[in-house]
Amino acid sequence: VDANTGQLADLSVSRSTFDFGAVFRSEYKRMTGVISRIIGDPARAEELAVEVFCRLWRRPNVQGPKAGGWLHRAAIRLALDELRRRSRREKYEALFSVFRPQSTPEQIHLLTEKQRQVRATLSRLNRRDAELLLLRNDGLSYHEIAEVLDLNPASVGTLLSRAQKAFRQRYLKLYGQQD
Amino acid sequence: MANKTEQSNIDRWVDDRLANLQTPESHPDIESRLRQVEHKERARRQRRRAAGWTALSLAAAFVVVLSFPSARTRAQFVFRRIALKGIQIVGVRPDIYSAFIFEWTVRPTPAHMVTGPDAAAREAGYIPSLPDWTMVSQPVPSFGIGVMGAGAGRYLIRVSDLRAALKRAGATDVVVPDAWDNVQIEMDMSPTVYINARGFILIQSLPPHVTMPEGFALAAFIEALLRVGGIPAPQARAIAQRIESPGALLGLPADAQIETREIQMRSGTGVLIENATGRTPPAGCVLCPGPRDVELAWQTASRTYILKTDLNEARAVAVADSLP
Repeated sequence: VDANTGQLADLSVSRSTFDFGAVFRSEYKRMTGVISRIIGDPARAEELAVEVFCRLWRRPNVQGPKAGGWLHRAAIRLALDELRRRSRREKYEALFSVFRPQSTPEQIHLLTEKQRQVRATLSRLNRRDAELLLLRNDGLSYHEIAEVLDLNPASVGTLLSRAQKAFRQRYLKLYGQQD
Repeated sequence: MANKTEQSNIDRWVDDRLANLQTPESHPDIESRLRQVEHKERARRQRRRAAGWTALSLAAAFVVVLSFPSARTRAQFVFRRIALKGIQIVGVRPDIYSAFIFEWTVRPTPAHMVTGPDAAAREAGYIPSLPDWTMVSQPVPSFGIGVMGAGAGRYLIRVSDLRAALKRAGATDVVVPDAWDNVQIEMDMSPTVYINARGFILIQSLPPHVTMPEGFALAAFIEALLRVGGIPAPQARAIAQRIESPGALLGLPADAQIETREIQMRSGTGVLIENATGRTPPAGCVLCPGPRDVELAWQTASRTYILKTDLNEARAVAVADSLP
């Protein structure tokens, strides 16, 4: 109920000055992209991004200047969880089809196969390593990664190196040196 | 140097593979997705509120059960039916229930949400007071409103039960006269209106009324009850004597570890209830203040109010004072 008009109100207004609607409009598409890149399913990514924002809604303590970082981390975690679920179900081929009209059938096959392999590898890494790699690949600086993952900025480089080695080892173990 | 080169190669190798994850740009319908979030959260909040109303109903019933006029009103018993004014807050052990028998003669309809203040006024029979929301937050919050129906009940004192409860509480110094046996005190209360926004709960009702036999030593009875509830003798006596006008007594679970102090408000004296331990209150105790909550209980000429909020004390008092 809107306090001014007595009418049912827009629930995007929270108690504090945090403008949920504005944050949603500015960040939703980006979060959908972050999730979609990880799980390779744009439609499902939109649903998961909605869930990310529902979680933000319920967390007044993160509704502030750091909301962007929190959203990014939550989106990656939700996407990795989804990836693991899918990995368990072993339905990669059906789920990871990303068709590009301009691509030849061979390119499509090559691309989706590589995506499948990368996603399968990510789903087998520990979550912190996968988060580090994905945040770095999203273009975040060490300082930003530290903020999002609540790490000491000085240790990000070391942790990232370990994560890269872990990724490489896991990938090669699963698929060998293909190129 | 070799290590650096190797790391650089790994870095590039990993980046090459992760680059495969690029997907076509999507164009989600942002406004419809925003509405989806709002709808989901509205439904979730309604489910939570429904649970909250149930707990609040129990809390309100507790207020009723422990509402008695004070000693100083005995002179007014010629009127027999009196309105309760003022409120005292104590942390009590549940054993207090065993000290008397209570039965509803008119059981209140459970608290339920209504569509807005007008609907609440129709159900409650009075116009609910709304705070000046601009003092609560900017932008003004959305809020829910609910009503619990009117109720009436009867307390029956059994001397044997009261003595046994006092014994269990170790309050063997309290004398319970035989004349209290089978004394009945009748209570009726108006519908209660609940207003709930994020970090904000306001409960209001018209002052309850009680009817009791003339000459009943109510202050002594209240003191005995408080002793059953685990309140030390000096404090129990002080509370019983400090109720200067007919007053309601709000009992919260003793393990809530509350602290109370009187504060000056526009309408007179109110009670500020604070969390003494910094710990989360017992599960299910909606009216127990959390570590960051401020809780106020006060009365005006026409209302009994309880406000629980995460605003600071000064703002909570200002909001409270904005109520008629």
